[in-house]
Amino acid sequence: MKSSRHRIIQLATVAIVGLYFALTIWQNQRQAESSWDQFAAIPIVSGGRIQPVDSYARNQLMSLSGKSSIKLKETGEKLGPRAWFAEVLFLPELASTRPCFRVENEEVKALFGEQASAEKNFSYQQIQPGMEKIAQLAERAEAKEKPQLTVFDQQISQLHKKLKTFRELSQCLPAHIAAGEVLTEQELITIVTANQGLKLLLVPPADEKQPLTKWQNLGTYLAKNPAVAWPAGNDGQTNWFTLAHAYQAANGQPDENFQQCCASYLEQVRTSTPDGLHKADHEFTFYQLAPFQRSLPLYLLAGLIILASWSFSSQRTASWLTVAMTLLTTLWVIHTCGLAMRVYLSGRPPVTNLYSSAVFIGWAAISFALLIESKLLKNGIGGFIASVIGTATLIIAYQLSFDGDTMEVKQAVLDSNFWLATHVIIITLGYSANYLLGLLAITHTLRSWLSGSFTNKQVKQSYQLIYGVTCFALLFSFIGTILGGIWADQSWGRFWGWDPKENGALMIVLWNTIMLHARLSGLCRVRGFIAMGIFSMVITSWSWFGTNLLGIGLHSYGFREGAMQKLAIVCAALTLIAIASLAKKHRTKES
Amino acid sequence: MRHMTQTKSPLWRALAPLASIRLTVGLLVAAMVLVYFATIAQADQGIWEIQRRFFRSFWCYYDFKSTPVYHSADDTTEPAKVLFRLFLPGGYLIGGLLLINLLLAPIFHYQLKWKKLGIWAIHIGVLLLLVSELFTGIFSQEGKMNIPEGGQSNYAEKVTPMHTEICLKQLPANDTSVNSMSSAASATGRPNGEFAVLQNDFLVDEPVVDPSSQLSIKVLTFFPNALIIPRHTEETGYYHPPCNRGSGLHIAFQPQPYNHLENNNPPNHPAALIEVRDSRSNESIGKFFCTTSIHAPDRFEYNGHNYEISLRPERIHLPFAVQLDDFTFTRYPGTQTPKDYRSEVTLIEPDGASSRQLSIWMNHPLRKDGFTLFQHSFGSQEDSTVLNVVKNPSWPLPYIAFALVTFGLIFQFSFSLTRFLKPASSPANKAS
Repeated sequence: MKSSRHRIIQLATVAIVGLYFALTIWQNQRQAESSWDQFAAIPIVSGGRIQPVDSYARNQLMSLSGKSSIKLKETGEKLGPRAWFAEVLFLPELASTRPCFRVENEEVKALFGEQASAEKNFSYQQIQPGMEKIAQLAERAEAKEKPQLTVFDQQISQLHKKLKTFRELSQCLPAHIAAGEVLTEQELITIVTANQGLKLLLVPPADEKQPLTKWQNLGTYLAKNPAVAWPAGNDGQTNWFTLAHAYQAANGQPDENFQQCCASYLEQVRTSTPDGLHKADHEFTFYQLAPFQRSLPLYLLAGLIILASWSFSSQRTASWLTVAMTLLTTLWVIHTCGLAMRVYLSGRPPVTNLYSSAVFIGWAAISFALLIESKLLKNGIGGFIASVIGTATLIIAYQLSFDGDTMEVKQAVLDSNFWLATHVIIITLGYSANYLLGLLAITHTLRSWLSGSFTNKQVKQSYQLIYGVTCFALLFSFIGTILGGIWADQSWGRFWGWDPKENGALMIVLWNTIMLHARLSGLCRVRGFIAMGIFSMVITSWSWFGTNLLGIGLHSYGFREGAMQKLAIVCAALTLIAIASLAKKHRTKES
Repeated sequence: MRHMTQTKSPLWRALAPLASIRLTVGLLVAAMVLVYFATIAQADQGIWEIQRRFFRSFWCYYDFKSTPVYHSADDTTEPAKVLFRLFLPGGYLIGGLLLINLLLAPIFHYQLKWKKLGIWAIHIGVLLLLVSELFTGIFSQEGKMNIPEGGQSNYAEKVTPMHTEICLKQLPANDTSVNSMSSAASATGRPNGEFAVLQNDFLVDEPVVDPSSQLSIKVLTFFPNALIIPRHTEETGYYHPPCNRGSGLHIAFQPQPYNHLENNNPPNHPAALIEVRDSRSNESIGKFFCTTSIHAPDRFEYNGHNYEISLRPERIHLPFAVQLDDFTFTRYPGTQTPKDYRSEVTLIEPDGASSRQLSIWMNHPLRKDGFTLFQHSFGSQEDSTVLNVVKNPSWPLPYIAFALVTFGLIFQFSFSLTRFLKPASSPANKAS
């Protein structure tokens, strides 16, 4: 009967999702990058936390090039982050010919003679001729006052930092040292500085079961133990130099010998810091699974299925809706597991930075949407909204992952799991509720424009639902904002400082309050309330992103190219939709 | 639901518009617009400046500017130009009207029924929040306390934003100590023999008289910020201050714009040309040029007494002293990111007898005698601590407000929620 068919469709969907994940992961393994697995699993301490080379390499490549791999023009092949990273460490001359720097600004290109080129990716060697000028201009830009900074200044500054990082990566390991050679003091200083600049600790403690604080800077270690490095330890110990030699002997290919050396080095490190390594292993597995990246196309697919189902006859609709809803529920479970993994790996509540806020906003809004769908709507709208939110937030999260380590450590003043779990989570729930409210409002508008059967009763039901979500949004936003104030009062004695992020949160509370009072005072009816609901997405986006892009205050996370423009475009589009929704529509069916 | 009365008094009719919920909406929209512009203005103005201009005022403006343009051809930058000035109502105006509106609206629209308890709680709570921000602006005092390891201090300095005071100190007849800053604190906090004139009080035309010494202090010129160099270096662009006594004779100065960003880059060092006279005979004792960047006060002798005069950041005197025993700083391994920094201190009571040892660290302040001491930052050599000292008598207000509004919101929304979840028998559309 219908229920057993229902069951079969559900199981089949779950099975297909499982198959999709298995296939994509297996395919990943088959590609060249998987031969680097042993190398990629090696843990290092960077930015104050232990992480596998895999994460570190990928984050570095993404922040330099804006992509997760480099396209080689000559062969058309792609150089992945692990292979690239090994090159930078062990064969820096070759690495400096790889186009890993993204430069789009014409005037910046002019500095190294490439203004005529249509290329966007350049190698260190290509930029070499302009290096001095870039350093000069960057220094001048740093000294300038904020309001005088031009776009050119910001681009130059960023390029300068990227070049510095690349230099430090290629200098942090003296891979060319011959057996028995002793490093000069100047060479040692270069290594110490490079490692410090990268916040890198490459040398694990010699004894067993040591804490993270016992890891050492490679340069300072070599200064104290000059003879230990080469060749591969007289005591049978492997180290970075063993790896370097194995790599060079194999001409940059991860052959058996190289992989063996990596594996044995990994075992050594495991005994020295077993707890930290445990987490590094799990992090490695987590990034192999890449649950968020893999879920993204499936969320999109679910939305498309629901759209398609609305154009079928009612019988087929039910089946396709089942497929879509099962798919979404499965994705929700994966999303939850992904978040739980991050909590375990970072040892923090789910929201600690912009990236994790994107993932969490998605998760919370999807949870609400699916709940509303299953309890109230039962017509696929909730599911459709869930898929839109899932797709959008995961795309945003993916873009944010280019900023660097998404599991960075928290500085002292933010180091409070209690407040991270209360204030931050509740405010983020407020964001989710506002996005849900906005999407419900857009759906309401589209239905009244496009659907011939949007009855009065349905209008009222939709309106009541949106009103209800607005109340929740206000509750979460208000409580979250005030908790932030209380945290500030406990931390530095000032409840409210009018800083951009606080102001952004206040604007959300004000807007939700305005919506409720406008409705109460008769200033707006259904259409007005709906329009205001759509606009609340603009305010929320400003509060979530806009305030971070200003680069001021405690909550500033840094400047991202073009992000402000993209935000402005999205907000303008939403505002237009909100205004358009005020237009009177014809309703053909009264009931 | 309008509260209908049979006879509407003229007062009622006059106040009714102020209780309108449409006015509430208008004021909230104005508040949003103000907050938005105050936020983007922070890109090039410091947060204290923004607070003063946008929120602690009745009106303000925001300048729309063009972006600076760089020309690589001749290596010049066109500065930003002001395109349009938008005038806005300020925090006091919007807040003031909101206060009235918040009070009157429930009185006019809702009777005192227990069902409306939620609305009343919300409104009173929000009112308390507004009042708390107002009181904080007026009554709160905040300063930084710099203590080197092994040293102690019983005062904090108002450096962000910079408030100064001129300190005239009469030294005891037999006091020849070089370091005059280590006097014992009196019960009121300020050391005996010190007479201080605050910045707001000395930036006037009339001289201020010290009652105990009968000397008068008048500030002839005041510079919010100045760079000081030794006079003998004879650099161009620096002026000789027109003083006739004190350390000012050996320095040259250059006035600087005040750094509103308060980020210590560059730091703000006010300077003042001060004339000291005998208020009885109006005889001029001397003109001194004092600045906060020179810590040692200027000494002078008059009528058999020794005096010291200096310009220094305004002090908040504590009724107890804090001694820094140890400052520890932990970083995340391999980085400069601070993981934890804390001060191990000893609290010394004014009678000098009793003392307590405790720690102050991030998110864990010390509260005593109405003052709260927070771990703020540390000296560049990491062997001294900087504590943030706050005295804000209105600190409980936001907590009370939070409890009231949260209770009110939940109370109110549970009504709506129960109505929403009930099967729709009668269209109870009107929100309560």
